[in-house]
Amino acid sequence: MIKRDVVIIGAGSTGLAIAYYLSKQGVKDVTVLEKGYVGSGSTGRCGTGIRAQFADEPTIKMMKRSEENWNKLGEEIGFDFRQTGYLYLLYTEEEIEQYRKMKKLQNSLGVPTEILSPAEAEELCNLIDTSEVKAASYNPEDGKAHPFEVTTGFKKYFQEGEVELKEQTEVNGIKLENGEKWKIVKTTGGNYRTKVLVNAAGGWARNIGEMMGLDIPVTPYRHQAIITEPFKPGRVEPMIISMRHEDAYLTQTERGGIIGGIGTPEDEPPTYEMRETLSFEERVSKAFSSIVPSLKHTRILRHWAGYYAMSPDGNPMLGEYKIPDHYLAVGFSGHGYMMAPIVGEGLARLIVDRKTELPFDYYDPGRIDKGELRESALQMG
Amino acid sequence: MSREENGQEVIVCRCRDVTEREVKEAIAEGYDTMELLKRKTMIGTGTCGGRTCLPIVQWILARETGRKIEEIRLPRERSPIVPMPLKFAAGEKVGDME
Repeated sequence: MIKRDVVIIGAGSTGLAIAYYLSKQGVKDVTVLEKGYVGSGSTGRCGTGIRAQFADEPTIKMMKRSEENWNKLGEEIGFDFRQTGYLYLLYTEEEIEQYRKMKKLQNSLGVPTEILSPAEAEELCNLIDTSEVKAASYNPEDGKAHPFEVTTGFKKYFQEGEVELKEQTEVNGIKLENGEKWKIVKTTGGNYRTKVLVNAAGGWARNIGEMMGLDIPVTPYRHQAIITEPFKPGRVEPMIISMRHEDAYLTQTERGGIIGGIGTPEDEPPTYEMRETLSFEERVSKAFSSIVPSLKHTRILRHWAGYYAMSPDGNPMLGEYKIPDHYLAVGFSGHGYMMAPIVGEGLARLIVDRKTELPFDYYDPGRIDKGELRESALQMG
Repeated sequence: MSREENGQEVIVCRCRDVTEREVKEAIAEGYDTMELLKRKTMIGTGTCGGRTCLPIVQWILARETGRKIEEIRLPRERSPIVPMPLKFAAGEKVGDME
């Protein structure tokens, strides 16, 4: 039996960030368990985008702080958080009205979003078809980061420090002992005894809950993305989003390929199926070539799927849940990657100090059982 | 004297300009499966879809880690099988193929 102070299940961006901030807080015996390799769940399959343009105050606050942390993390563990902005293309008066209201709220919380004219949007990326665009919402502090650089950056950082990262180690049972004080975590790499247990298992959060007799209402929905062949980097810097085209999002990676997908979900129930579908390839291609017409001639290189681990109200479930020192960091509903640095910091505070100044009350998992659902966080991109 | 000692670089992936030395360094750092090597070095992600580099890297990985080549699993194949312009994926007719 291996004794640890904290065991985190899941080495996606969330679990890794929690371990990082716990070690920053001076917690020594931290283990992260991962059934595959770092980022092999939904982190490595994500659209890479990071934004603070949301419609509700708690999420804007969290993401403002998350972007600050993304910057610091990038410097410390060695990856590039490229603040190339998020550009929402607006096609109707209704959309402009909605985004003006959001801009006002975002500005009041320190997020420098601006509403741009079509000509100004074109200055940011002259490949966009702006013939029907009426305005655009732009926050220059939003950006993107390469998930594999992020997860392997954490891995390297941990190798030189005290956090133990166990890849290829699958959890297959959890027992509670001495009341509910000790959690015995059985894995393919031996048994762990810990006081603090964190479920950061993303799309698999419910399965981990079941091992403890808990029903954690997180369901995996398949979302897909593509990458094209590379062309000259710098042509499509912002993450471009269009509500008119199935909530499509697209941007150019550092290496020059266009990466992106569409926000509207597949017409299918929750699934653990991770194969790509031909129908998606058709939809995403139509959307992308309407937004940036010259992409018509660009070739798709690869196409893959990952999960949005949805909570009942589309907001994360963060905090202690039902059993003392059992914490959830799940249900991010498509925003886990971008939120990870602030979720990591906040949850580490909650575990060590039992409190945080961040709006974690809003994300308290107990809200679901009480029926106090929040309004869904803005989904696009 | 080996090619590397001679200061010569051997390209193993022509799409992404990845050298034999880079692959070996990544393996030494612990990227010791084809999936991990793909994400670390970008082998197998170019326009040829890995047709050139994957067998070569598979062989290097087997040799460097003392495994049999049959034990080295290739990364999962993803759609499309050959790079396809968006306009075709979007349903535009290819026209007269003859």
